[in-house]
Amino acid sequence: MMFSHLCFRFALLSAAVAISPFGSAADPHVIVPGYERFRAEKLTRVEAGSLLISELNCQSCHGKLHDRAVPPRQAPILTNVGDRSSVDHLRKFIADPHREKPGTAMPALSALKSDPTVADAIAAFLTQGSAWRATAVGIDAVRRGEELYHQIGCAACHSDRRDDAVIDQIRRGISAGQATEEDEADAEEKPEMKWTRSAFAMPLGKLEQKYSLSSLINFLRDPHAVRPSGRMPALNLTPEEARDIASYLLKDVDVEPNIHFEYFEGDWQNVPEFTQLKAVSSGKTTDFSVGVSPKDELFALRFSGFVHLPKDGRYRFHLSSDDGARLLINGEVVVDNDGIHPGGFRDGEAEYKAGAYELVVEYFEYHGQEELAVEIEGPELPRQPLAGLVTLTKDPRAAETTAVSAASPELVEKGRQAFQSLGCAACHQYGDGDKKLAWTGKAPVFTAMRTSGGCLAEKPADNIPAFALTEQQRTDITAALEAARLSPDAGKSSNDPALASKAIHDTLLTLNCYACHTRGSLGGVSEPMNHLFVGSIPEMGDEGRIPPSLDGAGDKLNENWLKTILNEGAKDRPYMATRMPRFGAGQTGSLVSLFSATDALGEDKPVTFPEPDHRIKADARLMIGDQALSCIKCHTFDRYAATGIQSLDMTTMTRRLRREWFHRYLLDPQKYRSGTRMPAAWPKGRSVVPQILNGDSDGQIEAIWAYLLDGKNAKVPSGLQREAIELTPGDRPIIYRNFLEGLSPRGIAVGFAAKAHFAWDAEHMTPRLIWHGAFIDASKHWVDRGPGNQVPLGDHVMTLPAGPPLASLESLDGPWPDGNPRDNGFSFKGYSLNKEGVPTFKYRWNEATVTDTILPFETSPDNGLQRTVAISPENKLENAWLRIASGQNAEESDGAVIVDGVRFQIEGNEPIVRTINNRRELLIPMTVNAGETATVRIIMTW
Amino acid sequence: MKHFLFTCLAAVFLQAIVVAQTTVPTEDDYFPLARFTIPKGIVLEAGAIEPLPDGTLAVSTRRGDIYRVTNPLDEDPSKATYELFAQGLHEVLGLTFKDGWLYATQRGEVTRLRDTDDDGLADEIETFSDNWGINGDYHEYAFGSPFDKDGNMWVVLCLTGSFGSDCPWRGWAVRIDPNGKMIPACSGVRSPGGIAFNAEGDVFYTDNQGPWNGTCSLKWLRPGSFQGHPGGNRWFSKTDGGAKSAPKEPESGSRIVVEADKIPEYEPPVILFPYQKMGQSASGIACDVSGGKFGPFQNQMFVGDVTHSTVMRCFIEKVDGHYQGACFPFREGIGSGTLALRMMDDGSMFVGGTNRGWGSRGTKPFSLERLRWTGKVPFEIHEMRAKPDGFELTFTEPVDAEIARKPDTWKLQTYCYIFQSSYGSPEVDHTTPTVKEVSVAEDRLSVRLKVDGLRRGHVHELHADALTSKAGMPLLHSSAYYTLHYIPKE
Repeated sequence: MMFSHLCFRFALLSAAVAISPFGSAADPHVIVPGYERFRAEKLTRVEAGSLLISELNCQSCHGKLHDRAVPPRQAPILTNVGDRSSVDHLRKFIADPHREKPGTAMPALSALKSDPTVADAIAAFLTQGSAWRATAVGIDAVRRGEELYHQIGCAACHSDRRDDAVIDQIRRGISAGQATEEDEADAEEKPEMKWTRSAFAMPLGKLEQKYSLSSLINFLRDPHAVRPSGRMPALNLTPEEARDIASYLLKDVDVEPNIHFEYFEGDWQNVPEFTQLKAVSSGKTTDFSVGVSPKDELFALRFSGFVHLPKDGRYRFHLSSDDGARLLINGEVVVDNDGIHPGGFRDGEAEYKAGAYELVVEYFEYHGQEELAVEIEGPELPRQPLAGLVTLTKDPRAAETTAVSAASPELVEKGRQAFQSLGCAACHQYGDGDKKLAWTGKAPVFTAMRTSGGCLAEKPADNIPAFALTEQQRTDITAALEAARLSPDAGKSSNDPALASKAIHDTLLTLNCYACHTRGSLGGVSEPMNHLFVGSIPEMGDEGRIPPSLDGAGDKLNENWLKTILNEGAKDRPYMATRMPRFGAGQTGSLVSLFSATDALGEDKPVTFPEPDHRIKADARLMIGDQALSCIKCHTFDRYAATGIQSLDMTTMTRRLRREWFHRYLLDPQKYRSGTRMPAAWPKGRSVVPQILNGDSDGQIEAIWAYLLDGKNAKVPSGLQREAIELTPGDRPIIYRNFLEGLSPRGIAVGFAAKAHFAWDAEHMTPRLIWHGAFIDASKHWVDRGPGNQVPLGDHVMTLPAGPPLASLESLDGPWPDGNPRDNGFSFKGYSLNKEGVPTFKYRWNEATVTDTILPFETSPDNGLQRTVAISPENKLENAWLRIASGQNAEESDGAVIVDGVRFQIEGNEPIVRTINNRRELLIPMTVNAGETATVRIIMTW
Repeated sequence: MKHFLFTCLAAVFLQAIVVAQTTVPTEDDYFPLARFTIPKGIVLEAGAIEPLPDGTLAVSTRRGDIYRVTNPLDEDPSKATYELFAQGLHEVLGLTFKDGWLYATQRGEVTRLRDTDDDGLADEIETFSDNWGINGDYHEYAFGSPFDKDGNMWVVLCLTGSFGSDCPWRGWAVRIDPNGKMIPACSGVRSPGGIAFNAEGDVFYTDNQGPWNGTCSLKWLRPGSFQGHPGGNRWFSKTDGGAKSAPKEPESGSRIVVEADKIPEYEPPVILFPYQKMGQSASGIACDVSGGKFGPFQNQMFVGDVTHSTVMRCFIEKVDGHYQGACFPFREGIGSGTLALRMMDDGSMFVGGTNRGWGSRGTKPFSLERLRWTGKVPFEIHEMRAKPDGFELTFTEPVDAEIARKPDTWKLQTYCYIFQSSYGSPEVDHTTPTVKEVSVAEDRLSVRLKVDGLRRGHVHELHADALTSKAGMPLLHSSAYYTLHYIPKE
């Protein structure tokens, strides 16, 4: 709560200046990603034309041409389109689709351009009775959505939407806000990055004019409901992820202020009684946001308006705030999140009838960070910011940008007729079953038509659909039509392996699998997209961030799993940000059986054992663990993290893989994944653990397979359950030099049998921690790679001030110097051990040698530590002080000083206690003549 | 009856194996491994090994202990005892003895230790040099060398992680003069695994696959050179030359020799160890300066690999002022992941192992082993030298001239690695050169290959599986990998 507000402001700024890269397309034409990427070098004319015919859905007018590996792309289903799209957008889009959304597959009709009333009528017909309105989006959601959009896979097809400078920084490996001065100096000298935007991105159009927040959330969560052909796959988004990505895509939305707010100043620790207060200012806003406050602490806000609940039912309101807030409906508290605390959602719910309700959100901020977020979910209403459902007045029409009731029945009827007669209904489904509207027009069937003219003419006639086709695209379509006419059976399914390979290729091309995956010499992450693929474990290299090659996919994965991946998506690689999306059952043609037929190698050779099953599995468990092959060093095992990198969960292997492949892969991983980090545990086919199962490689691999078949029930292999390594001091003290929490990385902990311990900091030249009880658990550093800082194992851990330990003060009113002592005349010289093994630390301070020895002594209830500091200067030391303690509180008692719970008794020189910068400091004067030694003793109990 | 038949068959089969073993010698016949049995309670994750004047062997551990191993050279390794000399140091990966002090390289400093009261325990633990930064990241290892011919010790400092350097001199090799003063010597270091000198006294270290390192390699720390990873170059701002003196940053996605031709400071790797073929994690280095006591490989260098639990052999030569050369398999079967190597005057090589944090084929968590030559000469490729038009190979035993003369006996392919800022690289740019002419020297100890299609910048992978010695023995290791960054002019 007590952190800087700076980050928040920065995010706000960057969200505001980001610009869309899709503002102007130099050459607007139909974009089909596979065509754009591969046309020039990898596709024949017929292949290219055939792809366009499928993706322009030519069959819907001209009848079936030939079988392709995947069904043609269906146009969006328009039943209820008014719920997701604004009538304004539809009107403009129908009249001139290529201007509204460059790259769209939607054809234009010149008749519609010349007579705008037809487009108005169709839009009125499509949106009748619906209530669409633009909704404001939250700034934090936009920021999170931007990151998700660019990492989980959206951008693989739709391209990077950030501006060039941001991308350039990312590609240089400098993350925003983290660049050091050196980095920035470097950056200036560096030549421009060689980078161009991808030329084959699926266009998105002006989403903020088309979608409301909730309709875009619904679409992103289930795109196949309106676009059933799977070209837009689903990324299995959580409700929160869908909200964030939708917010990001709609960030340019322009909405009228719809919420009233009042701003108050004062020192409150609970939501104040606003009726007693006079507002400092008031106004209108589009979001329940702390951004309306000019201050970032000691203020309060009261938002009010009317919330319009669209349907009868149960609604849940979510409220997150730092500090406290409350949400009231018709004067009743529905969510109470009062008090001083960091952000975090609380919720409340109730039944409501459809209608408008008085809404009040009250909020206050004490100190530190501030945050407010208000969300709603209800019947057919996905969780989303509440602001979108709020208006200034109770009038329900205020909630609708477009007054649909204004559309006359005549206009709607005119629109319906145009929809059916002009050909819209040929491609777009409207209504279900018997109620589905049919196309009343007619087009020549493929076999009977000319391959020039019609919609392939350079300028199609008035009522002929005009696709934005380049000349190249038109000639490619012609070539495909002519080829189909010459050999009408081409492309039909057959057992010919060459045809099966081609069918796989057609599928990957059509669904744009090639955006992420290679197969053969085609596809994979293209250079302009490379920075969009990231992983959470950089050490895994490309394996940790680039989706796997599809070479041999049908050999590697079993049919069930292939089916699951395509139908449901997958996220088996937790370290990889990009997800395998869900294409949906039936939308990937026969890809599963094609993969199996083309790729699957090897026959099912059984391996049998004389030993019973439970012994085989125990042997496998031994092999996987840290006493043998150590698979667990890199692979996670169910809920157990691996001890090194976090590669694929071993307990999912048998669910995903084919057994035959598993056998061959383990013998030679490089053969199947060139460059993989997976080591060959059976180099040249020989086992490195000959003592297990007679060293028989096939038997060992089969045993592992059998063991992994138990999935999550397989017994956890050795090495995953970390055991403590407690260091228990005996006759001699134990020294533990490692990364300790609360010290610089040059920490040296010293433990005594007396159970009073300390940690000395060789960067700061002073003890930093003292504690009682158990000394150290070394397992954090002595198991695996040992990342992180260790905390003392015992109790009563007390902190002593950082260095420098000594300073020359001109006056006692001056502050104690800070900064690294090493930059201020101190250097560490090591330590010596006495007969008992007790260290005396030694360091230099300018022209003085200093020693520091700390020993336990017996007292009760816990033993104490006695510290001896001796200083021997070469020149006379004046105004020199040794700082012993620095804390909030210091009190003198019985000739000792207690600072924040530690009692210091000083022998040698008379200490002083001073107050400086609101801290109480315990200092000892250290004035010494040249060649002499001053010694002080500090007795610590706590 | 059936059972009896099976037994008979098994017996015949076993006999066949025995016969096969007697005809095809293995590494054990030439360089057997003596394995030390480490007593329970001692975790000897050997980070560095150094003989002491009293005949004991100092072995430092990743847990920060230093043990004195007694009777290290006794034929029977079970005669050794293990006596604690010091504890409480921070992951010691370098040991060297000089003038009564044992110098230990810890993560944060070089420390020197001695026992002044002869109770067997170090009592003076002095900081010799600690002028580099440490940030608390587990990657921040430091490997220390012995003292060089000028009395300097060399320390290679791993980056803060794989990619960057968060405190001074991480990603550099530094020299420490006899007074403990630290002098930054080379930038561009990523993640070292060992450091040592060759027979001429030049200093080399191993670096590991990762950013700007397509595969693991042996590198030459030519003073003033840049070793390829620009992560630590920000610290040029702290050198006398200032930030401006930093070498030009290499272009990601390029190739090593392309950048070497553009960046004068960049010293290309001496030997690339092809990933997976030779190893996955290069570590300790030792040079055979035993004067023939370790067999026929005098003055060659040996390099460990953690993942494969092996010791590799390296032949290097100087071409155009740069070291380059070939690596060969030498010895496999190290008990744990090979880390520290130490060559002794009597021709014993000590090998220390650990596989904590990084897996290894050797299944023990840690190991100490000793390699000695039996006196029998293995049939091996002794040296592989680059020539303007091919290679010259020398052998430890005369070759069968008839087989050697056939161009088909020599299978060559080449490839290189992408020089890039992202992690590692696949093998790329494969070519298959043709061996068009083979000449065999009169003494049959060397073979000259004339090759069409030598590729500068490529690893030249050679297999001679069919070759036998004059006596009819196959090569003990029939592959070699020459890193041809420079093609000699004559």
